[in-house]
Amino acid sequence: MTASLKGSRRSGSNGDLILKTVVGAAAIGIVALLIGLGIELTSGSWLSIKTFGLGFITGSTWNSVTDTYNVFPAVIGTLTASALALLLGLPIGLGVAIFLSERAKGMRAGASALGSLVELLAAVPSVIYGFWGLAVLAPFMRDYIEPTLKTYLGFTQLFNATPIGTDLLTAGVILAIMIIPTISAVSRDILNAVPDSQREAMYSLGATDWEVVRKAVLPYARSGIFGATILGLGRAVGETMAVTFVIGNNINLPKSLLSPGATLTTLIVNQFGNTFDPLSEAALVEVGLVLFLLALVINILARVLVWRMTRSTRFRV
Amino acid sequence: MKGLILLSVAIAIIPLFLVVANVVVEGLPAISSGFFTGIPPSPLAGYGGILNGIEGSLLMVGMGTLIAVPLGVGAGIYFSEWPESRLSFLSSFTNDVLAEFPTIVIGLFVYALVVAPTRTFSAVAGALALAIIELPIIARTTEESLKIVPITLREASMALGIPRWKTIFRVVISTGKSGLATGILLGIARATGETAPLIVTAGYLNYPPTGLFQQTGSIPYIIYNFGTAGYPNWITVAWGAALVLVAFMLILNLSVKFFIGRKSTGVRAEI
Amino acid sequence: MNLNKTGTSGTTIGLVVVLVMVVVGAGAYIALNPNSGPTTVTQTSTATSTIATTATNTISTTATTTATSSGLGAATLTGGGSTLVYPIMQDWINTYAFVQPNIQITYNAIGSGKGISGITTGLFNYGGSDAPLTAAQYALLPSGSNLLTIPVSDSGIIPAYNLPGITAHLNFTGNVLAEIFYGSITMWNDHHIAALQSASVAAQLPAHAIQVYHRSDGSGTMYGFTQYLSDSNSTWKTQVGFSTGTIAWPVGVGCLHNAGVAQCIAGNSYSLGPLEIAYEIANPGQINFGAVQNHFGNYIVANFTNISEALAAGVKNGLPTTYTQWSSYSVIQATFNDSGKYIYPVSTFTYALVYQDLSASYASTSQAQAVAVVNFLSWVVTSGQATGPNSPTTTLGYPPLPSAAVTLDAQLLATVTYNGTPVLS
Repeated sequence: MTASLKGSRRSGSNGDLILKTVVGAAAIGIVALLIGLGIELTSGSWLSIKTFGLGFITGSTWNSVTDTYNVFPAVIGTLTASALALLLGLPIGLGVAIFLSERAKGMRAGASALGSLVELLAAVPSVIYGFWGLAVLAPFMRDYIEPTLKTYLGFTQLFNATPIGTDLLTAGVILAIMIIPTISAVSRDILNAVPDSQREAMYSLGATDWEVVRKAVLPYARSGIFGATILGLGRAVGETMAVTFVIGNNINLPKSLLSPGATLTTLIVNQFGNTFDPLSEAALVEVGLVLFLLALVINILARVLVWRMTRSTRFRV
Repeated sequence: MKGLILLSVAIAIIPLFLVVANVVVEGLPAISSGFFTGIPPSPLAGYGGILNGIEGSLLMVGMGTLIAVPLGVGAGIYFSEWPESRLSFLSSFTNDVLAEFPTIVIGLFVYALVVAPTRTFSAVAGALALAIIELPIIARTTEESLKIVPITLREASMALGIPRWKTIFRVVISTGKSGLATGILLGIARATGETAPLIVTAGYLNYPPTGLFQQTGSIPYIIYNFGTAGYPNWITVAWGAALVLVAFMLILNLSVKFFIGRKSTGVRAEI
Repeated sequence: MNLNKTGTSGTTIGLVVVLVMVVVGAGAYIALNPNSGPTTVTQTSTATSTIATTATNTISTTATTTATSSGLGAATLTGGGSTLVYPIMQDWINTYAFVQPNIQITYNAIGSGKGISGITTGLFNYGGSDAPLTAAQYALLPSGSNLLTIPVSDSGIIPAYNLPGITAHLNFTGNVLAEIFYGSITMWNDHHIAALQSASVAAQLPAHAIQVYHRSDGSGTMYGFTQYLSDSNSTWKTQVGFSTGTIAWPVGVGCLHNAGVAQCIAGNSYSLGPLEIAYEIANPGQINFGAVQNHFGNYIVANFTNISEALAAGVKNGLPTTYTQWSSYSVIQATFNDSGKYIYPVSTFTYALVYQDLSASYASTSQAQAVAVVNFLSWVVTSGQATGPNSPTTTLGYPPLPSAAVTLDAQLLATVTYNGTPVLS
C-alpha cells in the first residue's frame, strides 16, 4: 500500500524542490487553518470568556434581558441527544457492519447493494432530514411513540411530560438515523481488518457463524468499534440543521426526554439572529469555541482508537 | 441472530425510503418549469420558483470547489509522497479532524474573518466556508488515489531518469485522475447540502445573484427558510427545493459509484 | 478501493471537466451579467389585484405619488431582521417589483437582534425590528449617525387556548395573564380566572392544570407580550422583564415559531399561549382565544380595527424624537394607560430602521440604493397598508397602520438625506 519511494529523496532537482514546497505549503495550510480557527474563535469570544469565566459552562441562564449568557442547558442537551443517538444508532450500525463484513461473504451482490443503500443515507443533506423530521417524524413521535412511553414509563422523570413531538427524544432519533452510516462504515472496515486467522481458529472448533462473530471477531475489534462509536458521537455533537428543526429550541434546562431542549449547535443557529451587542456575539462565538474543543478531543480520541486497529489500511470516514 | 442483524439492516434503510418518498410526494406539486426560472412566492400565492437558490448554490459551490481543489490536491500529494515527514503526520491528522468538524463552527469562523470586516454577507464568504468543508475530503481522496498507484510504475519512471516531480505529475494525471474526480465530486456533494454555515456567511437573496459581494441565496437555505414558516404554499416550495436537492445528490452519488467504479471499501460518500 | 481498475477514467475526467466548466461558467455568467436570469414571479393575478385595490384604498395620498409616478433606477437592496414582519414583507417586496421593476429587494428574516446589529454594522440597507433600540444598542451606533425608527406594520398578540367544551372567548386581565405565566396561577378554575368570567362560563372552567406554552425563539410577538405583562404586573417586571431576545420564562414549554405555538396549543388540551394574531387571521377558526381587558375596563376580542385603534392611541402624542426617548418608548406602554373604550391592549408595531444620512460611510448605501430604500418604505407605509379582500394586510393578518402613524412615517422619511439633499423630493 505504501507508495513512497525510499531513497528517492536523494535524487532531488529543482523541480522536486518546487513541488515539495508547493504541496508542502498546502499541507501547512491545513494545519494553519485549524490553528487559525482556534485563534479566531478564542479572540472572538474573549469578551464573553472574561465576563462569564467558567460560569459560561456551569450556569443555566441564557437571558437577553439581563445580558447573561450561559450554556449549561445546551451542554446537557448536546450530551443527551448524542447519547440517545448512540443508544439507538450503535446497535443498528453495528448490525449493518457485521452484515456487510461477515454475512455478506456468501451473498456479495445483495450485500453490496444494501451497503450502497446505507451509504446513500449519508448522502441526504441534514437540512432535509430536519425538514422531514419536523413534518413527519415529530408528529408521529407526538401521536404514537411518546404517549406510549409516557403511559408505561411516565413514572420515571425521563418520560413524564406532555408529548409535543419536538423534543430531545425526537432529536436523538433523527441523529441516530444520521450516524448509522458513519458507525456502520467505520465498523465494517474495522471488522474487515480482523485477520482471518481469528475466524478460522473458531471455525475449526466447530463454532457457528454467530459464535465466531461474538467470540472471535468482536472482541478483537473492540477498541476499533469504540473508535467508530466516538466518531459517531462526534458527528452527533456537530450536527446542526437536522436537530434545529426537531429539538424545540428551548434554552431552559430540560426536565425530561420529552422536553424541548437545545444543543450547542442549535443554540448558534437560533441565537445568531438575536445577537445585537458585542457581549452576546462573543458568547455565541464562545459556544463555537466549546464545540471546537469538543470536536478536537472527540476526533483525536477516535483517530487514535481507529488507527490502532487499521494502521495499514488507511481509511477515512 | 441472523434475524437481528437483518432487522438492523432493514431499520437502517427504512428512513432512507421514507425520506425520499416523502420528499417526492410533497415536492412534486411545486415542480413545474417555472420552478427553475422563477423566484420564491409571497405567502399564500402559488409556488414561484427557486432560481435564486439554484444559481446561488451553483455559484458558491463552484467557487468553493475552485478554491478547495488546488489546496486539497496539493496536500493530498504531500501526504502520499512524503508520508513519513512530521508535517505529513500532523497535517494529515488535522485534515481528519477538519473533515469531521461541526460545519456551523466553520461558518462562525468565516463570519468573523470575512463577513464582519466586509460588512456584508456574501457569496465569497459562503464559498470560503464551503471550500474549508470540501478541502479535507479532496485532500484525503487524492492521497488515497495516489497511494494505490503501483510502486513498480513509479520505479519504472524513476529508472528512466525522469525527475520525481514529473513522475508524480504523470501519475496524478494518468492513473490517479479518477481518484481526483471522485474527490471533487464528493466535495461538491458535501458542499451542496450544507446549510448552517451558509446561514451565517451567505445570508439570503430573493433574486439570482448579480455580484460576489452581496447576500446570496442557496437551495438549502430556501428549505430552511420556507420550511419553518407557517404558510402551506411556502412549505410546498421547501419540499420542492428538497426534491431538487435530493435528486442532485442521488445523481452525484450514482456518478461517483458507477462512473468511477468505486468499491464499497475505502472512500465513502460522506456528505 | 480500486480506482485504476475501470476503463472509464476518460469518461470520468470528461464528466468532471464538464461539471466544473458548467459551474464556473454559471458563476462567471452570474458575476458578470447584472440582470441575469428571467426572474418571473408566478403570482401575477394576486399582485395586480393588490395594486388595483391599492389605488382605491390609499390611506394617505401625500406620499404614494412618489413611488408610482416614475420608474426608479436599478438598485439592489438588502434588509433583514424581524421574523414577525417577514410574511407581509415578502409580499410587499414581490408586489413592489411590479411597481418598480428595476428595484430588487431581499429581506433576510434572521431575527430582530440581527436587524439591529445588521444596521449598526452596515450589513443591511434597512433593518427590521419589533422593538425600538435600547440605550445600550443606541450606544453601539456609529458616532454622528442618526437612526430613524419607522413603524411599518401592526401586530396584536392574543391569549390562545384549547379548553375542551369551552368555545366562548374567555376574559383575561394583564395581571392574571402575568400570574399564569409566572406560575402563581396554575389551575384553570382558579378563582382569579373565574372572577373575570360570566357565571355560566366560570362554572365550566375545568379543575385542570394550565399547560403553558410560549415561543422558544426570541421574537417580536414575545417582546410585545412580555412588555404587556411587565406593564401589568410588577413581579413580572422585576423578575422576568421583556426582550426581543431570549426570555427566561418561569414556566411553560417553548414551541418553534408562531406555527409551532399554534400547533402546541391546538394539539394539547388545557393549554394556553400567546399567539400573533396574523396566525389566527390566516388560519381562521382553528384556535380559540380570549378577550383582554383594556384600561377602560372593557374586555376586547382582538381584531383589525381595535388593534389599529390601539396603536393610533399609542402614537397620538407623536413618536419619540430622541434616542433617549426611543430607548424608553414602547407603544404598548403608550397604549396601556389610554382610556380608549375599544382599543385592544396587547398591540405593537414592528419597525424599519434606516439611517437619516444614507451617504455616510457607515450606512454602506449608494445613492441609487438610498432612493430605492426610501421610496420602498414610503410605499410600504402607504400603499402597502391598503386593506381589501386581496390585500396582503387582510389575507396575511397584518392590521394596517393607523393614519397618524402613516403621517409620522412620511415626515420621518422626508428627513432622509443623501449628500445633504433630501432623498424624497
